[in-house]
Amino acid sequence: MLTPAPSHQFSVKHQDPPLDSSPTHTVPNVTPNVISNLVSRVINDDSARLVHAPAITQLNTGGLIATWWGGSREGGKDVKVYTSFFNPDSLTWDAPIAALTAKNTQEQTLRYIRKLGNVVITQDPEGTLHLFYVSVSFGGWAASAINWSTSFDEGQTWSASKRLITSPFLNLSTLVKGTPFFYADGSIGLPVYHEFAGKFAELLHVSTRGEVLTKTRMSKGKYSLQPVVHVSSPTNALALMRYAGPRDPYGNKKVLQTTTQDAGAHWSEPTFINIKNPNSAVALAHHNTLGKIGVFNDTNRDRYRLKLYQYNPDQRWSAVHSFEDKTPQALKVPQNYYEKTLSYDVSQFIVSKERKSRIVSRAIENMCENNQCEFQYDYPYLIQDKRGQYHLVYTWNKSAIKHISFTLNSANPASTLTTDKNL
Amino acid sequence: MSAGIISSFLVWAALLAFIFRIKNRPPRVRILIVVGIIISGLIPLSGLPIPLYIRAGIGDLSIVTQLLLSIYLINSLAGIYSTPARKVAYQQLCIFMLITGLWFYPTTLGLTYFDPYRFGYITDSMHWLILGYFFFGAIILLLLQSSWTSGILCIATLSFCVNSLESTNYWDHMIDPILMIGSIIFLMSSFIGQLKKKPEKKHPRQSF
Repeated sequence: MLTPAPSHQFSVKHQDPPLDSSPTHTVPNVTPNVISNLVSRVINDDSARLVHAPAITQLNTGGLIATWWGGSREGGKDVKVYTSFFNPDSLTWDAPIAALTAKNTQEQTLRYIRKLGNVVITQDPEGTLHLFYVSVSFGGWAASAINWSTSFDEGQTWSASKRLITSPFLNLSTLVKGTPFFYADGSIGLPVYHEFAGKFAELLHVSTRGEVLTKTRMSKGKYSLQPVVHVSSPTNALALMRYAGPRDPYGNKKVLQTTTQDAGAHWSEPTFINIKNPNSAVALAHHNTLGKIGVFNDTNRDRYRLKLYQYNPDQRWSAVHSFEDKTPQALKVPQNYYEKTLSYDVSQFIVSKERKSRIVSRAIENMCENNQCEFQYDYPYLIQDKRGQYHLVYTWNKSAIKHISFTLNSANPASTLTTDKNL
Repeated sequence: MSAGIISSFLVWAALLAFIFRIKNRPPRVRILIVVGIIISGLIPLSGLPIPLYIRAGIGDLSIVTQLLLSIYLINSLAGIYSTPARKVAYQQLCIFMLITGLWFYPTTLGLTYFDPYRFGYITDSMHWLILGYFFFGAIILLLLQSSWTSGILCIATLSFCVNSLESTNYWDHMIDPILMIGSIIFLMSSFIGQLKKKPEKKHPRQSF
């Protein structure tokens, strides 16, 4: 296989630990890891009834910026893309700002826009923030297109949005969910997916001026979407994907995996990994000793559990920590029980008492019907900051954007990460 | 104003020109209809002119489609009828585009890893394949005595070189689904016309 030119290689500041290539029958050398410094916060305010699909990135100045969409309902005309800043000194999230609306996207892209959807964010090495978000003019999510906006002042103001043309068929059906990453020349790798006639993943190579340079198909068919990519070397990367297909003979649905060895020019045939997936989004981030860690709804049905997994030298994943687990209440529960359970859960959040009560009320509004309620924790998005600390954001019962910061240390003190200051 | 925005106005104008059968009207009525078309294309409806709703639905049309729509509009406004030879040239172009669309569009559905659309990016090492394909098409049309439509392919290729559309992909300058639909309609109407075998009506003004 030809080695891609340096400009087409991935930008990587770390090296993965070598994989164990010994026969699979040997006992895997799984290093136990422990989670610490875990702090839970809520990012959004009460301005939107329903919130979903958060993304987060670290700013060069050390803080964080999160973005998500919120409105009266999914696909509503009033849905806006919100941003919020995390102040590293006060350790609090600022009040959210409605950065983008269907109306201003319509005015800027000069075409009718009915609704907004998924959004991802990243900051390039020059300090420019890039926001990629989905919009729909007519029809459902299958008719989505991607828009791009930038900020040169760390999210205080945003440029006029530009439409990315990514499909020859009326530019229909390209969506974002996975964390963007960078190539060696500073251009952006944007994992996207289609869900028109089929469901498949692609990797867009986008310049920092918002021009699509090229794209590569990461999977084919009707069952894989929402790819997340972990870059391990200038040429190698692994991607995990949400699985939308039928169950296997054992009744399971599992996360899909594909790999590249030529900086994304070609991807391997997807295979299943040992984590269940109820057709829900997954998250992936780098770990200094393990190589990678991920966050998954590791169930066959519904999204009542959200767990952190580590990637082991034997190339299998093992659970490390449960961020949310309502396994005993996996089926729908009565409203009074639901309220009691959530009231206990929100008592751990760092928000005011009034806000806690409003979050519970909003969750009841969004997740209960005929006195029957369900728990839902989904759309995880995970990053590792420059100090090695992790930031996980996800949708909490469609009513809150939850931010969990944590460190993941090896139980073996010799390989413990050092953090000078925890966010 | 990008060519993409112009394309939505062209579609709106061509649609109205067809509905009002502008070509058959006396010159004064034609002018009135044209004024009406221009005004209707500029008046905002819920904050946006109608052509920009069309743009939201069908995206930006290829340069080939835009050139064909422009020719249709010019002919309609001037009351010009195409010569039989020119009609044949358009049929040949439509056949070429239909053949291209028949193998190209199914690949966009993600059924296989083969994705010729990526070859349309100039940064892709295989981009010469698609440039060569349309060059080959233009040569074939030229050999079929259809320099007019061969020229349309060349102009579309030149427009790609000057980034006239939002898209950075060569395919988007050459082909679009609306061109496919238009080609099918045009070829079917030509076919039905030939079946009826009516003698070609001679018009005092025959050009493109």
